[in-house]
Amino acid sequence: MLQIDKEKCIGCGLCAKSCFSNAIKIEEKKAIPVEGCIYCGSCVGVCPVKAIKLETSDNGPVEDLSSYKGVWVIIENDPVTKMPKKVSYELLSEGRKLADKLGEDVYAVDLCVGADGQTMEELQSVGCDHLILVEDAVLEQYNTELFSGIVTGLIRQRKPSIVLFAGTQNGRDLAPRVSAKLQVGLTADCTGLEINEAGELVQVRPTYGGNVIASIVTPNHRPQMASVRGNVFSVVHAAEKKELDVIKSEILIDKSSLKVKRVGFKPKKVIYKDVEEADIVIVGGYGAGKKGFELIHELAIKLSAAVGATRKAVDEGWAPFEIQVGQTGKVVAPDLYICFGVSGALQHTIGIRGAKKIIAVNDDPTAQIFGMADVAILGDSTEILQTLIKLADEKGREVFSVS
Amino acid sequence: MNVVVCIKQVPNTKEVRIDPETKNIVREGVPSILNPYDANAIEAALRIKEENGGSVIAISMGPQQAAEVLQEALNMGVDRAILLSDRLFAGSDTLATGYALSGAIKGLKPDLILCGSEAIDGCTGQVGPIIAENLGIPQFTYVHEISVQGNSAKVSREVKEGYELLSCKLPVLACVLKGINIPRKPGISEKYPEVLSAKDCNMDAQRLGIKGSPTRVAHISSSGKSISSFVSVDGSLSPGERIKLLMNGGIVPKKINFTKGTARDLAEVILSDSTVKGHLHS
Repeated sequence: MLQIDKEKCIGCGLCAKSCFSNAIKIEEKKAIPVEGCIYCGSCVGVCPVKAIKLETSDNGPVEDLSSYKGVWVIIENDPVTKMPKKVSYELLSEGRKLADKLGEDVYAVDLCVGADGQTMEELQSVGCDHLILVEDAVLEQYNTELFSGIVTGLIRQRKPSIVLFAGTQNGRDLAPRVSAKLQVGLTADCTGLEINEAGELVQVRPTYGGNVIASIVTPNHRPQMASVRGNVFSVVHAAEKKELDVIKSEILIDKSSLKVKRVGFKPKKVIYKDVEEADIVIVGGYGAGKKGFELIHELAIKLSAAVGATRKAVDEGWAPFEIQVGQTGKVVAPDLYICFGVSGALQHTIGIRGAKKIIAVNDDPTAQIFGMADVAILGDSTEILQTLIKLADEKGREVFSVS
Repeated sequence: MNVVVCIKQVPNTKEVRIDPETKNIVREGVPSILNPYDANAIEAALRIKEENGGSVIAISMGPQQAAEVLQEALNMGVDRAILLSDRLFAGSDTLATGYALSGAIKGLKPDLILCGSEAIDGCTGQVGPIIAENLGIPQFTYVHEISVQGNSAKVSREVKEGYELLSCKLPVLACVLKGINIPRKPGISEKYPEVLSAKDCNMDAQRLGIKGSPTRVAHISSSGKSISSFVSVDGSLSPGERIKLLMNGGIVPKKINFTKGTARDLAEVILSDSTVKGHLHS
């Protein structure tokens, strides 16, 4: 509970200013706690007269935490290739760094129909020590009940200290279910993971629509669990290949009583070029307008680029959610990112950190996006797009006639 | 057919601005709104009720002020609205929030629970699945279409590659996407939200609020601390490093070199980029 000593308080208001959740107000020159405290302790540090106490009524750990060892990554397999998705290797690479700091091992946990030699070699190449393999024909399709039951069972048996999930639709479906079964913490969509002096996992994530960055720890519960989206971390190949220890799990799979049935699958009609994988991404923001999006699509086809959109543009209905780029949406890492009418709100720019080059077009010289751009083009989006499409046609033809 | 919709009042994160002088986030005057995804959940619930009969109850955990969004739900046409408000809830993370909500929902004996796919402030999408686990019922996340027939629900769930068609017997919890429908405009309701406390729902105080939350905020900082309109950083850094700097607030203001000219000049600048050239040639 947040307690403010009225006698000591001088009503300077620094605590209220430091508060991210507006949980302190100043009335009659005294600070008063109101609803909304998130127990971050920002106010305690800024108070010049030490009038603020924050009691978190910490009960301490419920069990011996030192028995939890190992950094786990729950592998997500591609439904077509049946091989682990790139995000899984990104997590294993990051997991390797964490494990090295802790002096622990890295485990890939693969629930699949069957793992092949190529997968095992790739797991070795990112420095994975162990593969916990759960093989069964029924694991071909993701099922919440089945997967959460198996993952929870494995965690209870083997007690890892850290479990990382892919921040995909299935990963974000699975992780909270497991956290509730185990009654442990879970931090969604982390953009950074570190180990602090106490050996705890520090989970860094943006919140409040990307306007605030929070560092989150889980002091009294194990495992510490987090989800991370694709393209947030890079795949890092280990210097030396170690022998991969394959552990075939004997966990019992109860598939008789599954409540949810998969009755069909409908592939997407408009297949957008994958904005997460493309080497050129063209993004439209609110400033591009509906017309601008039509032009962006046309240009993207000519440049074989992928189209992305900001949340504001998706909210306006100009683009589908699946191509939204940002904290809520996809994280992209193209060689070239071009945007039209994007203001540069953090909710969006968090998702473009991996871009190698940024070209921004906007008619507003005060747009924040210009502060991060390599090329800052001040001009009208529609006009420039129309010209680009025309010129791309001409240049394409020139090249064609020469070759 | 008893439908419960979980909703949340959130700050309109689109309206969060940076003070040009202090470079701090301006939090005052940021309007609180109904989480946009939750409006879709309310609409989906109302449509299911219209087809199948029954009632819709909206529920929210939050401070007294959150009654505003429950009133909005009543104005949209829900039959009952419940505000779960208690000092014991302060400092709840997703696990504790999920516990409190499921504790209150249990007593309502729902056939169907609907949530928005995530809230725009925290963006975790975790509370729905946690409620489902606590109640021991299946969940559908990323729901793009939903229909109820008799005692079973059918949904279309959006994944990267397409739409999974899933079905199961009620009760079930579904987290809906924005594209599922267009929410109706609120009318006028003569009803008011009811307020319930932790005690009213027989909740275990050890699992509520900060006590029931395994995660702790160790440190928090304004990501845009020194962002102003004209800041840029060392051009030799990669965009990722520059954005990271912006997020950490450590930026040296620098004048931006704007590229100006006719539309043709500007288009040429873009087309002369080596990556673009490579794509034009292929």
